[in-house]
Formats: sequence, structure tokens, C-alpha cells
Amino acid sequence: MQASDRFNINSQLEHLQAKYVGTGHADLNRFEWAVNIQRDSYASYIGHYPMLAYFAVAENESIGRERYNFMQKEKTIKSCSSGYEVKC
Amino acid sequence: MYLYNLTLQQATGIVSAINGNFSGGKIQEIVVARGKILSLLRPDELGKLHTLHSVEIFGCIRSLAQFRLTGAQKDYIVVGSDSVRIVILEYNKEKNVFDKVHQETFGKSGCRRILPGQYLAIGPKGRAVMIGACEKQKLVYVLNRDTAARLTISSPLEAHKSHQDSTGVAAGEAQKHLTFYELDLGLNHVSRKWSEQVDNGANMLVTVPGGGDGPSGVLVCAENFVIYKNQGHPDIRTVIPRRADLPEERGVLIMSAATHKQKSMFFFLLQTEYGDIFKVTLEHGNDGVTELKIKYFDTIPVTASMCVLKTGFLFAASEFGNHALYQFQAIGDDPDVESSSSTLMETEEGFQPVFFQPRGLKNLVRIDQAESLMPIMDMKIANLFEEETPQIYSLCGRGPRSSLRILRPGLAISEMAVSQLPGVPSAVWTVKKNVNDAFDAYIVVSFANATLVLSIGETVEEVSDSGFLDTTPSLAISLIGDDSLMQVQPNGIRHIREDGRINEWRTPGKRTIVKVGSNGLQVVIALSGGELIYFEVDMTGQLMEVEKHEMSGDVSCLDIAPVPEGRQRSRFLAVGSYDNTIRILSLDPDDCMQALSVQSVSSPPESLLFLEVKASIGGEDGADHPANLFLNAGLQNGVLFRTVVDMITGQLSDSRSRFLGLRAPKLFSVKVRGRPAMLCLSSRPWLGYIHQGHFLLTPLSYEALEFAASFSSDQCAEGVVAVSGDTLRVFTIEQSDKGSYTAEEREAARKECFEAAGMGENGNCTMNQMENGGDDEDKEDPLSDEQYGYPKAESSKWVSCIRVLDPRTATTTCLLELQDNEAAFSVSVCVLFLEDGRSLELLHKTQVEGVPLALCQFQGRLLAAIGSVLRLYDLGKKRLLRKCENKLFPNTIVSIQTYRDRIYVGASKRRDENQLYIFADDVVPRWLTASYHIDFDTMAGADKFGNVYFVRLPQDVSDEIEEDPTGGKIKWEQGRLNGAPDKVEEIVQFHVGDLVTSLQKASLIPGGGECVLYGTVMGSLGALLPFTSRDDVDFFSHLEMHMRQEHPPLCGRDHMAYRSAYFPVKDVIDGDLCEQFPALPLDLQRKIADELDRTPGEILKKLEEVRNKII
Repeated sequence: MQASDRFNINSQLEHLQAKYVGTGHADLNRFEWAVNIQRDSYASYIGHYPMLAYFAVAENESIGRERYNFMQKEKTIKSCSSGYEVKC
Repeated sequence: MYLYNLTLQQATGIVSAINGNFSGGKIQEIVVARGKILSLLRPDELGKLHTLHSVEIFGCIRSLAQFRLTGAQKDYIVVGSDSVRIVILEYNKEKNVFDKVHQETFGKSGCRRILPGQYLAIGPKGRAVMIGACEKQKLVYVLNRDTAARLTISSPLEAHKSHQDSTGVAAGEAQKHLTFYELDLGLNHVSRKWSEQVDNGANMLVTVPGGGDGPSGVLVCAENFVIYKNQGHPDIRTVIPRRADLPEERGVLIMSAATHKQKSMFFFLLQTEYGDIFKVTLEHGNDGVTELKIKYFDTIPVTASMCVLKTGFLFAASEFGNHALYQFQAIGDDPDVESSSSTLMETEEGFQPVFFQPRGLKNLVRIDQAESLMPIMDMKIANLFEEETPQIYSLCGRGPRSSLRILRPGLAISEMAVSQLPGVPSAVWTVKKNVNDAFDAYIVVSFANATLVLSIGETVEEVSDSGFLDTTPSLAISLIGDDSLMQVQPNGIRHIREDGRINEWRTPGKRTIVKVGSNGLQVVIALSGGELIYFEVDMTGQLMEVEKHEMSGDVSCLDIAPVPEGRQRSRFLAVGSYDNTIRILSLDPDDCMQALSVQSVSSPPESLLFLEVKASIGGEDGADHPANLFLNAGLQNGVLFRTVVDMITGQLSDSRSRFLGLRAPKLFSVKVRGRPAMLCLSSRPWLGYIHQGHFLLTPLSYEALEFAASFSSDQCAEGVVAVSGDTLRVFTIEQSDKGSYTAEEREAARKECFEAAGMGENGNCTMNQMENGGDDEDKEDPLSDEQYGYPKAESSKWVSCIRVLDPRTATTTCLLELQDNEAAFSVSVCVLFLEDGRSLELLHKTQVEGVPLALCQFQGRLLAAIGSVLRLYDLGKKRLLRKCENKLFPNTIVSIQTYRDRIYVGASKRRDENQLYIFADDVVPRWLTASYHIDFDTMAGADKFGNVYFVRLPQDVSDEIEEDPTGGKIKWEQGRLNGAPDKVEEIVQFHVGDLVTSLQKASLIPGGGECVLYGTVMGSLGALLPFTSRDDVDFFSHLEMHMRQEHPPLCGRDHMAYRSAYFPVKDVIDGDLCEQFPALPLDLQRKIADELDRTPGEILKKLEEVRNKII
């Protein structure tokens, strides 16, 4: 990378995206967007204890099990819509 | 509309708990996070839990950890919250507050996946703390101390892993890793020392003590397994024993862990998601760990955190339901089901499981419990007992530990004794024999024509050698001077010296004594006709008459202020007269019996009490604020009148009054936690006491009392003895927590829908629970479901029942068990057809195509929400008859309310108003959890993110729809933007920070304004009170603004940002923040008061006033 490239807007954006997971960009496809949303949601459920408790009551599980389930899902979301071609 | 938000009952559920010595020294304490509240608990030697301090932090606490610097005596607290700041707190014993030692910002605010705060880890010697996010980010702070031994914190060191997986490709073959990080203090750098794959079901790590104490390394708790891992050490794996009745497909997951470490040994307690606790021990030697053993220990309800205290207690913070403190009877040395790494068998189907059967408690014994309402699933406010104030009926807990609790505002008391007396007593006193005695010697009860003396010892029994005259009634009994007793009876004063000599003073002529006031060194009596006679105790202990004074009329009550420390006498005498005045007279020798000030009141005073109040922030030993002398007067019209007495001039100022009940309040001085407090007996008892700088007046949850006195014996240090009817009662006031509610647990049973007898309301909460077959379980059964939980079933199985309860007798008048799994929700349709208020009869079932989540009566017919269809049914003979329906709701409808000809519908994502033509809806999609209809045009709602909001139909739309003969049909048919033709306006918006499950409009005090009450999942109750005047709104919004600036929340969350977490806060003033005003240092209080053009006293009064409007 040349020194001048470091300051162009694209490389700055890339840097930001690497630093802040979940930051969107112009070329974000639908799948990536949805994965981000879902991961954010699960992380938010894990962080907000009352919400975890609410889910735990509804699903008749312990709060810890709910947290574990959300964590497993957060880590392993593969596809939001089946058959969608993943562009790498 | 402007609202004032006030928490009535702080959250009772616990997110996380840690133990340590936070106040320094050897005392074991527990810090618990209750969502947005941080509190410090201390179990005493007897194992009773006391809450020392509790503070709202206006943020969401996600994790807690404690650490100690090498050689220090005191633990610090690290808080991981949504503030995106690392906060280190220290408990200040003197002031009884948490002091913020450090606060370092590391990101923008929020509770998001890459912002650290979810996990905290402390370096083994307290040298570093790592704070981690759900994903990617980890920061390490180095902790040290400077030359003055103060704690220092470094700038953060990043320990992130820089890959990210936005495409999800890697997620397919995702593998969990265990990574050891090493902090190099010399290079000031964190390195990934070692990383290895672990079981993908891993969910928790437990540190194994290292150095001289143990082999070091970690225990990785994964689904079904516990694995010991260390660098350069082979994995040691053991299977977690499973309950024999557990379905095969279910795993066993460890939920909480506690470590116990002594000099010679250490062990771990791990609790599974079913509540079973296992003791884990490691066999280790020079060549590392050789064996990992997991032995069944005991079973207690599932916990969020466990703490093993060095004093032999186990604190179990339950996920749902009451928390408990257990004492260790044994440490599980007896043989029991055990799984060991050395006997682990791997077969073709996997590892061979080990089974066990839960049994009764063997190693633990429960000695105390702390009440938890978590989760409040539904709540109704009604006055079923026809008391002065309505009761709150709440459905708490879940599954086998669920209960219906009746909450009343008031302090809990515990009754110690009730005994029958031979007649109806008029008064009771307690008296010590000597000023220096710790405990009272006699209880003296006065009847209409006699006096009964009881001596307090091992037992309480009648004595006749006390020297008190028992043939007349008594007006006052007290200790006078250092060691002599005084009995005032209508004809004179009897002074009993310590050696048994008796001095009598007789009233002149035929006049009788009507009122007495005394304070141990001074006595004033009022004779009939209005003459006051003043006595003093002289140097030799004699009671000497000093002065006489003629009043203009009869005296209704008297009181002498307590003697200030280091003085001979008190200067103030308060005299209440039947001409509606209270006078302050001087008792100084220079101007004896001169009137210092006069206060006129609304009705004749009945009782007077001087109370010296140190409005401190409540340090353990008292005050750093100057004392204030308050004169309290109970007036005949039931009002308590309080005014400040100037300590020098005796001038009265700053008066406040409050209606307490239908009877004139009688005032008594008692002690609460060693500090003076006031007991007011009106048609119900009240306690006035200091809590965190506030003077609070709170009702006691007890019946009406006639007369009371403080009581102290070696069984109970701070009790109250009182008379009521013909009984003598001894009780203690349990705790003086702010605005606490006492819950009477009426019945612990499974309840989903409850129908308060005689009320046509049903609260149905959707709980998926399994019931344990028939109703044959016994409470004494060692394997009660309360302790062990129901057996787990598949998630598609349902069991539920409908129960009609009589709250008075706590009995079930009707129990309807729902039979087939499939029918469980549809059947609840029949709940509406209440037969005679006592029992239910199953009329018929109607099959519908979906799950009806909401039902409501509407103009004699039934509205049912089936999925996203709203349908009107009429009662038929064999089944319900479909009348009309609306299928145009976008999402599942979760609540319906009706008023006149409007229907208010809460859909899980949208809130609409409907006349079977939707004519207005909300613009914001919401996940609704509760809704309540406020008035014809207004609805209150709460969503699952913890917001409460009010929406109102614009006036012109409302008028238009009322005038429209088609009821909005034409307009609806035109439609707009796929929704209703009109939109409602959001008028109030507030983030509670806790998931609100029920809303109701009610008035909690007689004659008080109506407010909206809410109950939350974490077990807290709050109220939203509408302001009635613009001035109040101005005042409180300015106070809130200054509080935000001068007293930012403890854990670093910006208050405004917190209350606007999802939507900007609108027209709600946070009373919880305003109420922290008295906890500020005095100069800061004065600064804010100056900005508001008031005195701190006026602000305190204002805060008290608004609180009194709610409760």
C-alpha cells in the first residue's frame, strides 16, 4: 500500500469496518446485513438480563441456558435465507 | 402530560453476586447487581441477611468482579455495564456509599456486541483486569498503586483478535478456543500465550488456584462435561452426572460456580441448570492433575450466582424466586454418586453417562431467605380486603416456585409475642432500672383503674415488688435521673429511688394530673384547668418543683425535647392546647415558662413529640450533618404536622403536614438501627425514620395499635411493645429499606391465570411449564417441586390450570385443570363465564384455528384475538358464535381493552385502535408486553426493550370519529400507507430499564391522585404520577437537570442517554434521580438549591410531598 492510499476514504472505511464489527458499507449485501442484525440482536439479548429472563420464562428454560443458546446462535449464524448465494 | 417516575419497590432479582471484604477487615460481604441497582448485603453471625446499602446506577449491570491488591485488606469492585466505561468502586464504610475510584471510557455507549462489558476477568494477584465483549474486543487494564497507596489504573491494552467473519463462512466450521493471555508488565503488553480448541458446548470457565495453592489452569464447563485444561497438560475430562429422569436429548449445562479455598485444600461447587450442585475436586501432585472428580452435593433452586463465604455460608442468588442463605453442615465428604475422570468410559455411542437421583439436603441447611418477586408476570391493584389502601396482587415466580403475593406498602415487621391481658389496657411503657442498662427491666401496662407491672427476664412475668402503685391507672412511667423510677398517676407523682425509698408528690386540692411530659431529667405535668408544673432532677437525684405556670385553658398534650448531649436540661417544652395552637415554652432558668413561639394548627393536637433528626447519608455510626430538631404533632383530624424547631431561638419554621389515617396519630419515640425514629399510631401504624438522608414516613404492615413503647431485651435489641384491644404485642421492625413492600405469600402453586374473586378480570401470562402429574405432592416431601423443579419435557407440551382464589383465606375455591395438551390456550376462552364469583363451570369449548392470546368482554360479547385476527363472539348454547372479524392486523395481537364503543388493541408489533375498522394506529413498531387503557383517547404501553410510552389520538381525529355515523368506515376503506387512516401521537416516552410486564392505573392512597403502576420482570414496582401544576414540572425538570450535571450516575452511564436508550425520553421526570438529592454532600446540595432559588430544605420538602402523593 502506498502512503497516499492510507488517507483515501475507502481505506479509512475499511479500517473502520475492521475495527468496528457490524459497520455497514455501500457494497453490503442483504445476507451480510441480516447476519449483522441477528448477531446484534442476540448480543443485545445476552446483555439485557431482564430480556433474557423474559425469554427464559416463555421457553421454560433457565436463564443461563437461554444465554448459552443465544451465544451459540450468535456465533454460528450461517444463513438467514436458505439457498442464498454467499458472495465472498 | 408530564409524568414523575418513582420506583416504589426496587428490583429484587439478582443478575450477579460476588463476595469479599468490601468494608475491610474480616467481615464477609456480598455485592449483588439487580439489573440497574447495586447493593451490598451482609449476613450477620446468625445468618440473617441485611442490606447495608443499595444504589440505583441508571445503567444496566452485566457483570461484576472483585479484586484485591496484594497485601491489602479490602476488596474493590469492578463493574461491567452498558456505559462502555470500566468503573472501579470502593465501599466507603463511614459514609455508607460506594465511592467511584476510577472510571475509564473505552468506547461509545450502548450494550452492543463488540463493546466490552459482558465479561470480566481478574488477574490471579489482582494486578490486571480484562473486560471483554461478546465478540472480538478485549481490553486489559493494569492495576497498581501509587506512593500514597491509592489504586491506579493504566491505559487500556488491546487483546483483540483481529479476524472477523461477516460472511458467515467461517461460522460453519466455527470452533471455540480457549486462550491464555499473559500480561507482560515489563513490556506493558498483552500476549496470547497459548490457544487451544475446546468443546463447542463450552460455556463457562472456572479458575483453578495456582502457585502454592494448586495446580493452576482452568475448568472448562461445557454441555455434559467438565474439562480441566492447562498449558502443556493433557485434558482431563469428566462427565457431569445426570438425573435419571432427564430425557436423553437434553444436555446438562453448568449455570453457576463458586470456589472455596482454604490453606490446605480447595474445591469448587458447580450448579447445573436443573439445580443440582456438584462438588468438584482435583487430585494433583508434582506431575499435574491426575484426577478430576465430580460428586453430587445437594439440590437447591437454580441460581444466577453462588457465593461461598468464609464464615461457612453459601449465598444462593436464585434466578427466579426468593434468594437464600445456606449454612454448610458438611462439605460432601460422605460417599455419594461420583463421576471421575479415571473411570470415564468411552463407548461407540459416546461417553458413558453417570446417573443419580436427587435427594434431600444433606450438606446444606437453609437459614435465611431474601424475598424476590422476580418475575412479576401480572399484577392487579384492588381493594379486596376493604382496607384503607388498595393491595397489589402480583403473580410472581414461575413453575413450581410461582406464587400469588399480596403486596401492601409498608415495612415488614416480625411479631415476637402476643399475649392476652385481663382487661383492655390504655397504655404501655417500658423502663430500665439504670441509665446504663442495655435492656429494659419492666413493662408497665396501665388499665382504666389499675397498673400491671411485668418484669423482663428469661420470661416476662408479673411482679409486685417493683415499687409502682398498682391500684391506680398510670399516666407516665419513666426512668428519672440515673437510677430512679417515676410513676405519674392522676393524683400525684411517685418517685421510686434505687434503694427502694419512695417519695410522693400530691396534687394540690382536688385537681388531677391530665398530661405529662418528661425526658429523663425534666418533668412537666399539666393539671386539670390548665396549670403547668415543672420539675427538675437535682444533683442528689431528688425531683424538685421549679416553676408553675397557668395556661389559658386545658392542655391537650405536652412534650419536652430530649436533653442535648453534654447539657443539664433541654430548653424546649411544647404544649398543645384545645384552641388549636401549639406553643413552645422555654425551660431555661432565666426565662422559665416564657412562650418562645406559637403555631396554630388546623385541629386540636392530640400528641406531641420532639425528634432530633440527623439528616445524614447514613454512615454506620451516624452523621456528618448537623442535627435538626423536629416537632411532630398528631392532630385530631388525623394529620401529622411536622415543623422544624430552631435550636437556639425556638422559632418554628418549615412546616409540613400529612394525613395518616382516620384517628388522631399518637406519637412515640423508638429506635431503628440505633437511630431515633418515630412511631405514629393512627388507624394504621406508621414509622418515621431516616433512610439515606431522607426522612421517610412509611406505614407498617400491622394492625392498628393503641399505644406503644420501645422495647429492648437480650432476645430482641430493637423491638416495640404495643397494646391493641386486650392484647399485648411485641414485635420488631424488620428492615428499614426505602419504600419497601411486604409480600404475604398466600399460596405457592402453579398459576397461570388468576381471577381475583368477585372481579371480572383475568391476567393470563404465557408460561410454558410442565406440571408434575396430579396434585398429590406434599409440602413436607423432601423432594418437593419447589426445591427440585419439575421434570423437563419437550417444549411442545403444555399443562395449565385455572384457579379461583379467595385471597382472604388463601384457599382455592375452584381449580380447573385443562386436559389435553392441544387445548390449553383455546380453553381459556371459558374464563370469561364466571358463574357466581366462587367457582367456574366449564360450559363449552370452542375450537379456533390459532392460539387466542387475548380475550376481552365487549358490549356483552367476547372479543378474541386469534393470531392476528380480531373476532367478536357471542355466547351460544353449544359453542361460541362468530359475529364479525377483522383480519387486517399485521402481527399477532397480544392485548385487547375496551372502553365504551372503542376497542384498544395491542399487537405484538403495532398498537392500534379498532372499531373493527382500524381507525388509528401508532407509527412505531413495537414488541408490546403490556398495555393499559388510560382514558378514551389515550393508551399506555410497554415494550420488551423496557420502554413505557403513552399514545393519544389527536383531538380532531377523535371528534371526527365520534361524529362520523359510519364509525370511520369510509375513511378506513380509503386507507393510507398500508395502515390505518389516522395515526396516534406519542405523548410520553420513557426507558424504565427493565421489562415491564403489567401496567395499571390506580390510586394507592385514599384521596391521592391516580398514577400508572408498573411491575417488571426483575421484580420491581414503579409508579408514573402525572403532575398537576406547571410549576412542579418546571421545578422538577430543573432539579433533574442539575442532578444530571452534578451527580452523574455511579457506573458512568449518561443519565439522559439511559432514559432515552431506544427512543428519546419525552415528558417524564426521573424521580429516582431526584431522590438522590439528599445523598449529595451539603455544599453540592446548597449549590443546586441556589440555582433553583430555594433552600435545600425546601427541595427535600418538595421531594417528600411528591412521594406522599403516590404512596
